[in-house]
Amino acid sequence: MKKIIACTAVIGLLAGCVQPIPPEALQFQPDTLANRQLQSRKYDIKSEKDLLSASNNVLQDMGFNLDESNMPLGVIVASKSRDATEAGQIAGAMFMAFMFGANAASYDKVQKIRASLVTKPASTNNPIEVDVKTKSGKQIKFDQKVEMPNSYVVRVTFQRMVWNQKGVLTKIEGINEPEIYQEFFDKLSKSIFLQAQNVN
Amino acid sequence: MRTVIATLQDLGFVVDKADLDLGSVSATKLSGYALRMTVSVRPSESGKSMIVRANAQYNTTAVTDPKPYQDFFVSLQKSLFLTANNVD
Repeated sequence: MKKIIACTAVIGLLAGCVQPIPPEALQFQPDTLANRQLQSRKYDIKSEKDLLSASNNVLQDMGFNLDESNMPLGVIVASKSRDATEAGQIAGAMFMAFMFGANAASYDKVQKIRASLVTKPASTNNPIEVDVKTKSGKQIKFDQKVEMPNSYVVRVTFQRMVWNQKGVLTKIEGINEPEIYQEFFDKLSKSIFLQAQNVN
Repeated sequence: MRTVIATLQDLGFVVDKADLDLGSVSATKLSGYALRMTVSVRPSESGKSMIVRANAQYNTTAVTDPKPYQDFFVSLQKSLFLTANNVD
């Protein structure tokens, strides 16, 4: 009996070690729509190709390297690796090293920032109302979105990974600072304007 | 296919790879953990509907629990009907 209890306890402990997926990971959250608006901007431009090309130029201006692209889907994926050292963290690490030895010191060294940019045709605010009757005689009403000509929506998302000086991954997170998205879209507006004027 | 990408973006994923011919998209969500998903879309035999298949890995383990997949499909369904008027 004791053995059974011991085994159950061990299994329980082992099961506890495997972290379950957080329940909210794949559910829409109250801020989902707000984030969508923060990360999206509508542009009046004659083709999706022009918009993707202008976006690619902005990403290159910001020092990103292209990882993946799919023109028919309107997808661009880019990344850049940069220094992540902060003076405050180094001072803290020096203090820790002084107090507890060199192994206790840890500060962020390198970060990789990833960006994925997706374009899609914009739709009007006046959808067509469709009224259909199914085979079983059920009446269904739904709104059929109408695509706006020469208007596209760009949505960009950023995330970053940070490694410390020992090469250990210390941070993995999405970037949700409004200023970063604001800055990106301001640059994109300028880039689209310059492209339209043929100034490259 | 574009709706799948939009849903993944809504859920905080960053696209890794996307292929329209193959109808497949891979994306990663980083939020203190790494959740990677591959979603493929293909037309059904009747040609009237699309079949969406998703598989996920959480850090280094495959996700076998049905609940996260159900959550994903619910989100996809919501995204199909959600029109962000302020954005679009």
